[in-house]
Amino acid sequence: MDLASRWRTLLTRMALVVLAGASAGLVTNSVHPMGLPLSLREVEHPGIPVWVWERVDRIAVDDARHMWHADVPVLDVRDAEDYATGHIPGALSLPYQEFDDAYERVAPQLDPAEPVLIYCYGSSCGLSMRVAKLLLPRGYGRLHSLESGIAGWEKAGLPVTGAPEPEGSP
Amino acid sequence: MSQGAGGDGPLARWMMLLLRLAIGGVFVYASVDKCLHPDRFADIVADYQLLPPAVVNVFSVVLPWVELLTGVLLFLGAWIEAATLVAGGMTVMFIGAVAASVVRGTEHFHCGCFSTALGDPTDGTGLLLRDIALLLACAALWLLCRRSESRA
Repeated sequence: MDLASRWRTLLTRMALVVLAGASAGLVTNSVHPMGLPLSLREVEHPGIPVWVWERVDRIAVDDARHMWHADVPVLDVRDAEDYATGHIPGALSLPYQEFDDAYERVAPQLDPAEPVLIYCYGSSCGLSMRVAKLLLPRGYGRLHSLESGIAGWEKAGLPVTGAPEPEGSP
Repeated sequence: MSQGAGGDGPLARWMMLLLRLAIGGVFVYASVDKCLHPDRFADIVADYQLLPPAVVNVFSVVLPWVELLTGVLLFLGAWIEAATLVAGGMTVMFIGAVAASVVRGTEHFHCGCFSTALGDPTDGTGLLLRDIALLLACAALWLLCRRSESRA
């Protein structure tokens, strides 16, 4: 086999490996229970399966304020340091990056049958939906996500506190 | 299909066998958890902040299966040279991604190398050394492939 045809064979095989792998991935994704949206304009936040989008109620600041007044449990899913700097009064800290440990801590204060309000940094932050993805299989069926995050909350002139929340709140 | 059966000494043949089983094993092992949890892998890929958000999902769905197929081919001894080059290409990409995170000062982050679990963050420098070792192994296997073919 001459050099040119050898390289042609090699490159063809490499392309076939990549194409076959990619096809297997795309086919599997279409039947996978956590299958991801692939169309470019559907990917609002990467890593969030379609069914999670469909089951989380994304709300504006005004609705979030009503829920907060009605004592709906609020979950702050940002890093613990950011929570310590300032959070919605009464919110529980459930940092996404430490979800497993933090969930053990906050779970006794939550009722999966009741509504829960989640927020993160701002509208481009995907952490709320990531936490929703972890809470939905645990039976939390009434999840609401504050679309504009704490940035929108502060912009609306609503209160933020850096004080630690007492155990057992809200 | 095996390209390593040419007129090579037994030492080179054993080295080829060892390298392709090791590299193949690493790629298969690295791919399984990511194939099972594409959504979690996509979260990790997004956190590298190297790809536009719109393409993160496609990348995260495709990459683990290319890794798996590459690993299986190496393991079985089929299309060894092509699979080695694909493995090497992916390793160069991993090195670039990790190096970018280290340069940006994200010294500890979730690597997404072998597991998608939210565990302890990875040490970037240690990871770079591991990936460079993998790349050297790919280069060695490729050179052995070329040599055995040219002697065949």
